[in-house]
Amino acid sequence: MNVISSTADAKRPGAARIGIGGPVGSGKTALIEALIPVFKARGIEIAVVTNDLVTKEDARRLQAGGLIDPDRVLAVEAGACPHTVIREDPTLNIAAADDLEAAFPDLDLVVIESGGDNLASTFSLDLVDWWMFVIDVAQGDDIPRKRGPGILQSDLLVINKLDLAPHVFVDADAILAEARQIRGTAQVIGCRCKGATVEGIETIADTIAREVLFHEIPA
Amino acid sequence: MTDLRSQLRMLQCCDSAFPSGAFAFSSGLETLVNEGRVKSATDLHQLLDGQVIPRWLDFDRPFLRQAFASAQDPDALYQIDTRCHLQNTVERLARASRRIGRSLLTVHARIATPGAKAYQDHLRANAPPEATGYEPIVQGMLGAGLGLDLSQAEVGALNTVVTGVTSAAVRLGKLGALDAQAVLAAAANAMVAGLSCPAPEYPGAFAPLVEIAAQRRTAEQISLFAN
Ligand SMILES: Nc1nc2c(ncn2[C@@H]2O[C@H](COP(=O)(O)OP(=O)(O)OP(=O)(O)O)[C@@H](O)[C@H]2O)c(=O)[nH]1
Ligand SMILES: [Mg+2]
Repeated sequence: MNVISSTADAKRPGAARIGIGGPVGSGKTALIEALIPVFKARGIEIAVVTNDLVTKEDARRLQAGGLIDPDRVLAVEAGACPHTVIREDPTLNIAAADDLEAAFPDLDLVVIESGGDNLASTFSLDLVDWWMFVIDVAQGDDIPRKRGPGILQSDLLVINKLDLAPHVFVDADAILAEARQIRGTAQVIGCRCKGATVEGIETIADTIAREVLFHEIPA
Repeated sequence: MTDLRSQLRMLQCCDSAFPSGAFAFSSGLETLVNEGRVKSATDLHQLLDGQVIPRWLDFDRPFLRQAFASAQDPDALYQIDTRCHLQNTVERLARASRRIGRSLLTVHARIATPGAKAYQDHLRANAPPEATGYEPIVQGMLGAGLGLDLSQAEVGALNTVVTGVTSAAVRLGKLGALDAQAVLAAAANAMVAGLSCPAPEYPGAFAPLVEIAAQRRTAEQISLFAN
């Protein structure tokens, strides 16, 4: 006789798992690259799983970047289905996260980067405890308005490349305000991951530390 | 008369929506497509009939049957698993088989399929992950645990392989989703014919086209699939 076991694996020991989804080129890998030194400074031990759509490019970029021990980065091929590997069938990503935890028992956080997908992608809660969706201003100021599960259901919506707003005729404050209005109480953070200065990265790290690692950081 | 419950469990567990990671593997097809050796529905049908189905019948099937018969005995399963490892000469296909087998174990342990947790614990305690957890061993053990008869377990496992390669072909753009169903309908002949023959006593594989293709992919090759 089969029994129904609890699907939420709340008591799973080990590192917290977070997902980063969002359309192609919105800056998911750049955000991870910007977050790594911030986590390092705070003593938070991380590892990364990438789900490149076509190559192992993102994994290689992180491994070669010198920011993180290359052994802490694993690539999982998505079989041309970036959403399947994070939602309908996350088993390969679960196995990769398990392998990283086994190899690095002191991990606090496993970050799983989805292959670039469309606005409908969401993460299975079998795979991650919390996930964020990254879009950027240059994809059009109507993106939040188009809603879609990624925009609406993510625990955090990140709007990246604020520096580009003036070049693509977007009002950064307006797009952030509209996103906040659409998401109600769910968080929205604007950021810039590249260039002479970065912006919003500490705030994103604070949110992850507070909501995922349960560190006491004032909101 | 077939028991309705086992029939339902077979449909559930052999559904392409059942999480096993199988969608990320093409079993060499991606290389054959990239090299222009598989270009159409006809080519795919020939590949299934000439390589994929015979390889499963000759190699995976006897292992599945042995595991089905020893489903209650984790140590016996482990011995069969180890033989499967030793006989697997194509590392890329072997790796896929292990990753799928281990995913199946994880999911079935979670949904409390009889035997799954016991075998998973046995492997964790005793076995190196890169040498055990092969798909046919896990499928045979699970088939018994789910209350399937041997023939259902075999049909389900072979169907999973054939639909997996066919769906990879659709994602590689070599045939449409409707053509794919025509190929599957036609491939049923070879599947039925093969399953109607007695299984070989000793496993052995000879499907050089897919085996060499699976090994031939290079690190630089742009790839959607893990093999
Ligand atoms: N101007 C500007 N460019 C950025 C910013 N963040 C990322 N980029 C650039 O945007 C491009 C895409 O960044 P990635 O980090 O590769 O994006 P991604 O979302 O990981 O892409 P995929 O994984 O391919 O979906 C790169 O050329 C980055 O340099 C930013 O804040 N401002
Ligand atoms: Mg990326």
